[in-house]
Amino acid sequence: MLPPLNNLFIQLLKSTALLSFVFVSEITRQATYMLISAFNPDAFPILALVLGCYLVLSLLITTGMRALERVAARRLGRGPAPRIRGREPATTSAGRPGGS
Amino acid sequence: MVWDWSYVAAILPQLLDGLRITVIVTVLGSLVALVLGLVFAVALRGPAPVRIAVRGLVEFVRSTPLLVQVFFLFFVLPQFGVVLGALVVGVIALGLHYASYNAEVYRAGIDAVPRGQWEAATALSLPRSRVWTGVVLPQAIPRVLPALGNNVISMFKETPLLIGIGVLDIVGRAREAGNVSFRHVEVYTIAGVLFLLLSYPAALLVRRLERRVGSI
Repeated sequence: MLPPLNNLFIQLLKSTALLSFVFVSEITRQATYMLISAFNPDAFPILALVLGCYLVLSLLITTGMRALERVAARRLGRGPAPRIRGREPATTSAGRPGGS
Repeated sequence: MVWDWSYVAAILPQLLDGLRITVIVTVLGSLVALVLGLVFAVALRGPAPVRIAVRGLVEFVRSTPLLVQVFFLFFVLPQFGVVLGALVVGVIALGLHYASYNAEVYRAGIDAVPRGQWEAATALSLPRSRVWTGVVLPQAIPRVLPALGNNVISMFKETPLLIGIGVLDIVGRAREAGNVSFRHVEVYTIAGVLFLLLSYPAALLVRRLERRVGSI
């Protein structure tokens, strides 16, 4: 149950950006407000930072859920499930596009 | 607020025009997503530097909201001298976003091809390109068609995000009409109904496809 929950959590995180349409002052709203109404020329750093924030948050969620999975597996007396292609190996490379 | 049918009749042509834009964006976006996703999936089986770069890109795109990606492309591309219309930016953003989802779908299909098929292809010393086009992909793609269809439907439902950059799709038209007349109930209801009318039959089609694939 935990791995699908991880996906759902990340989906939920990404859906919060939609709230900018109904004037909730979350990060996407703030960023586009800065850009559009202030004619800000620094579109690239601002939006890269926003993307980086979402990336860090989703990596945090993944790390937390992974830890929960390990705890749950230990409680059931099993070893952690082997992960050949999880999200984890990509963390170092995934940070690059948002950070640069 | 009372439901006003004459107002519905008055706004319907505008909404249908918006629906045309939505469908165009969905069709072009899914073409980009289907092709680019396949390229990503094949690249994920390629040499290490390519694999790591593509994996990073896919994970990055999957971890960040589509809306922010749309804004990013719309505001950042002109700074690098690439000036594109809102519609084109929307198609690129949707295409890129769903390409990374489709890459995972294709990957599942490729992983499901039995190992023996790869070994047989190697034993026959088929060239690499022929292994992909002649052996692996013809077995992998039919199995994942329903999942790809689901992604196309998801993309159709996510096109309204493009009103953030001023694409007048069906919801954009609805908002426009609502802001002029201050009657929002009819416009958004009709927009929702039109979405339902298109996506529900599409979902039924995908379900039929699923049954057919299940019987292969």
